[in-house]
Amino acid sequence: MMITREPLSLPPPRSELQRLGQDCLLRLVEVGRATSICFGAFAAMRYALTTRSRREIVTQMYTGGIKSLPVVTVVAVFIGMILALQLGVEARVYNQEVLVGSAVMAVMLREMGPFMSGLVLAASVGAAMAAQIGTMTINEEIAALEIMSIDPLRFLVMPRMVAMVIMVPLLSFYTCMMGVLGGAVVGYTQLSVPWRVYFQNAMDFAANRALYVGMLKALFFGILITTIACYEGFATKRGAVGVGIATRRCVISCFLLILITGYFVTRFFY
Amino acid sequence: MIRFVKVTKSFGRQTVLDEISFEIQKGEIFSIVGPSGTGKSVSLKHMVRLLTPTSGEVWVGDDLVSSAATNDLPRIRSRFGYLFQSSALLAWMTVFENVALPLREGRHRAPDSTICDRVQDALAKVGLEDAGDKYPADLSGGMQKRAGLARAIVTEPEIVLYDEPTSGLDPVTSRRIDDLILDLNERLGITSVMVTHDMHSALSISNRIAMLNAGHVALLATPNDFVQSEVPAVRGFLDAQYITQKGSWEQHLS
Repeated sequence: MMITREPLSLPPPRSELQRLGQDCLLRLVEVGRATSICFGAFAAMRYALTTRSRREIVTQMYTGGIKSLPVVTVVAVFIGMILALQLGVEARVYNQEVLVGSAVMAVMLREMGPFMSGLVLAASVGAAMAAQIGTMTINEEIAALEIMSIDPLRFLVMPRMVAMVIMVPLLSFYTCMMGVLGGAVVGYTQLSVPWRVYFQNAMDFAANRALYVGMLKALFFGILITTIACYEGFATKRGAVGVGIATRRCVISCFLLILITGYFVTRFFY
Repeated sequence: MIRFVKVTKSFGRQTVLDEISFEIQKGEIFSIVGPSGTGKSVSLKHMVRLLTPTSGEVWVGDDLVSSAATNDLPRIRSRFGYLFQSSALLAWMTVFENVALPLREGRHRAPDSTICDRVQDALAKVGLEDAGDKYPADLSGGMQKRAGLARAIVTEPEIVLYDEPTSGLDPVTSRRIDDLILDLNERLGITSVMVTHDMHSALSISNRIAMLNAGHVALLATPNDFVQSEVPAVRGFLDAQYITQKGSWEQHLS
């Protein structure tokens, strides 16, 4: 697949209707190119076990996953605390605050775990990925790779895709656990729910199905973030301003698609 | 070796190349000069299909590059080395790793045992034998250009394309790059195509020079004929660099 492409040049529109048609056409081309980048990266996974690829995958897992742990931890703990507080205050009206652990566990596993880890990774790792590849595009490094007959999908996209496909579900699970822990702190300190009772209720409601659906969502989010970040990076033009635009477009597209995909996956299973 | 046949290239309404035709012979050093925005780099990019002509044909040997299938491009491109204006070195790799890249990943993949020697040899050719461990950000502009050149020649390509090889460099480094291009051409028979504003460079080492102006080839001539040209666009370009018809060029060289 050729990554270095010329901008699609269309004749100036003669009416608003034609302008709308051209916009739709350009969006379709964008979706088509992003999809082919995604498929190309998956096709290149047959080279994932070469020495360089393994090293690069581990590097990407570290930069994309391990280095995100502090921010993910803070977000997860506070999301759990907010959930426990809001649910607990309402449940206390009916003397049901002991059930706050069950509610936090169910919400974190199904929705908030993958959702929050997806958003955090889109804003941090996705933006960094788009900026890095965008800068490489502007500096003609991508063109240089292609002239050296090095496939950018195999060289750049595949290791990032593998790393994100592994790390986003793991981070999502970690987010769930940290959220439940944060909820326990609020349960104990503000709702007077004993630790043992909180965790007992939480574990009783930890359904395997919720876990699998959450992990599946996280997997999709990892694929989405990598595809959009790499697509926007490769499509960067017009220097430093272009890198800024690519990064912003990447984050916005990731946020929107994470929301939309999250809804449809939930809708499919529940 | 490389043939442009009535090549036109338009970006939207702007026509950058307008039915230009020329042929570059095997083993020659061919310079493309001209004011900014006249399509010099665009011409170069057509040779490796980083750009596709709006109409016309670009041939490299027996390969019609302008309409080659995507999966045929790696084979065609493997005949080329390309020195980008920005050097295009990968920032997170050392100079050694950058130069070794086409031998480790590209079509010219070589056994690990030979890579080290070949990379050291290429670095020695450009005078960077001691800079292998450095990162591109630690190098000066001239050293980056030389590292880019080492990467372009490490695969021993048939053709090397140079996009502004001496721009932004001091005169000493510029002449060193010129010598290097000349040396590669004489020792290895590499065909060299150079896009440049630096007339000193173009006149010193080229076999032929093409001047692009307003989308057309204003003149295609040997350095001597180029200097003597009365074509107004060429004359204006040379006068702006204080190169006159009356022997001053030879005086500069001596």
